[in-house]
Formats: sequence, C-alpha cells, structure tokens
Amino acid sequence: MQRGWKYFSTSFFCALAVILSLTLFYFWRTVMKNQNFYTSEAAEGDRQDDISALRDAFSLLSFRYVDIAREERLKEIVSRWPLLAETVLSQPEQPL
Amino acid sequence: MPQIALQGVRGGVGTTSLCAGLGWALAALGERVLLIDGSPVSQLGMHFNLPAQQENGWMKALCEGEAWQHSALRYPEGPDLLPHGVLSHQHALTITGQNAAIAAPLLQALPDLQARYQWIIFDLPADSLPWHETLYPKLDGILCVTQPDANCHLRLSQRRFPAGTRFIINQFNANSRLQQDLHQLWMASLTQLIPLLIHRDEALAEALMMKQPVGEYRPHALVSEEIITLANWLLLNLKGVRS
Repeated sequence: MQRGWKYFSTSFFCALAVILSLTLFYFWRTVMKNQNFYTSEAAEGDRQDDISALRDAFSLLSFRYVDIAREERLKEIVSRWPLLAETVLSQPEQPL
Repeated sequence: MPQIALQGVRGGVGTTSLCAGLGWALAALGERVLLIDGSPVSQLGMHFNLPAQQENGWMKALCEGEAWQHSALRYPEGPDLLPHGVLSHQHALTITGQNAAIAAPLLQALPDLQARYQWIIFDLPADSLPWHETLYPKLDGILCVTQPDANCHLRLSQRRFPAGTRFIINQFNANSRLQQDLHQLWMASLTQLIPLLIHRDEALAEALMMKQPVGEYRPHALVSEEIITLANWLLLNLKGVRS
C-alpha cells in the first residue's frame, strides 16, 4: 500500500513538472513572438535594419556607415534586369 | 482616429481582398471599423456574404438622390460596411466625369463617423476618380498595394503619389528570383515601404469564393497571420496620427 502510494506520488509530481514546463515554454514562446513583432516598428519612416536601430539607440546621427555587401547586391540586381537599369535612374523622389 | 484608404498601384494586386482581411483583423483586435467600398466594381461586400446580385450601395443611393445611410450593413463580429452599389451606365459616366461633388454628402459626414469608429477604411480602385481628389486631403494615410512585378515597378517609377502614401507588398512569392530582387530593391529605394510582406496564399484567393474575409475563412493561414501583423503595425504607427 505504502509502496503504491509512493509510486503514485512520484508519477503525479513528474506529470506536474511536465505540465509546468510546457506552460512555461508556451509563455516564453508567446513573449518571444511579441518581441519579434515589436522590433519591426523600431524606426518609422527610416530604413529598418540593425545598423539604423543601433544608430538611433546611441544617437549616432553623424555616423556614416556604408553597407558594401548590400550595395554590391543592389548593383547585381540592377544589372541582371535591363528594365531596372532604365527605371532606377529615372525614379522620382517619393514624397515623405 | 485614423481614416485611411487602400488603393492598388494597378488592378488585380488583391486590394479588395486585403481590405476585407484588414477590416476583419482590426475588428478582431477590438477596434470599431467601418469599411467603405469606393470601387464601382462593388466587390467588397461579397467578402461579407452579400448576395452577388446586390445592387444597392452608398454611391448608387447618392446618384439617385437617396440617403446613403440606408445602405450601411453590419457583419457579425466584424466591421461595418458601406457597399458601393452597382451603377447604371448613366451614373457611371457621372462619377467618371467631372462631377467631384457626387460623394460630398458622405465626405461631409466623415467627422461624425469618426466619432463612432476607430478606423474608417476606403477601398479605392486603382484608377483615380474625380471625387478622390476631395477625399485625399481628409485621409491620414494611403496604403498603396503593390506586387513585385515589372508592371508595378514601372508604375511606381512613373507615377507621383499623394503625400502620406505608404506602400505594402501583397502576393509575394518567395520562390521567384524576380520578386526577391524587386523586394530588395524596393526596400532600399522606396521610402515609406511598410517593412512587412503579405505572401501569395491560396487562402486569400479562395476567401472571395467562400464570401468571407480571409481571417474568418482560414484564421491560421499564413496570409491571415500576416494581415493581423499588418493591422498591429497600423495600430502602432497610424493610431493617433491626427490627435
């Protein structure tokens, strides 16, 4: 009888631990999901990348940063499609 | 309280479906929403189970000298709706002609409507009509719906857009090299591009066939989750613009 009770209580606590950890994981995932979501609105009206976020966070207004890899990528894209080469030069300034 | 319009950079980019989905998503987030169909095709109502043969609507009422208020409808647990109405040939000519004052009774009522609704969203056709010119200055923002293809790119580079226009990419196909390239280029060159993507999803295409907004028809589809994200983005970035 005593032995049976012991087994029962052990398995009960095990089940409780599993349920607790699952609940914690669920909450953690929800929080992480929200964090991801909120970062997307970080810099309204500006380019939204890590460098811009850093610049804004530390008020580095005069910080000049050129993302060379990105520039190269854009050059490749423009040279790949003939229509883009024509339109990118003639693109009017979009109003703010 | 924001008053915005969704307008496609051209027809067929999914503006009306996105508008229905967005109205549903904002309502699901607890906002009071009024959708106003500004397109003579008058399809927005079909997303909210209106009969396909339904001809009544606010513009039709105004053309016939009746009260536009009578065409308003309420969708359970969703947004309120003003369908456009199917116009006779003569009335269609009136609104495409120089008669910008035709929509005046509705536009004058907007301040009153703003007191009742947290969001007023117009679904406008890609080709501007004269009455849009009186609407634009009253708006807090225009969401210009685009799709990464050559046609939209050309239009974006040729046209001038009203101040306060933001761009949103719809029907994005991640497997397309062309779409990936245009997305990267637009991210770098198009100011006011909303940093979100609405992917091409069969659920959005099916939603109109099922006569439901996509968020109600397939709440867990990728596109429904992305429209909820867009609704949240608008809540964070546009709510309280005017106050």
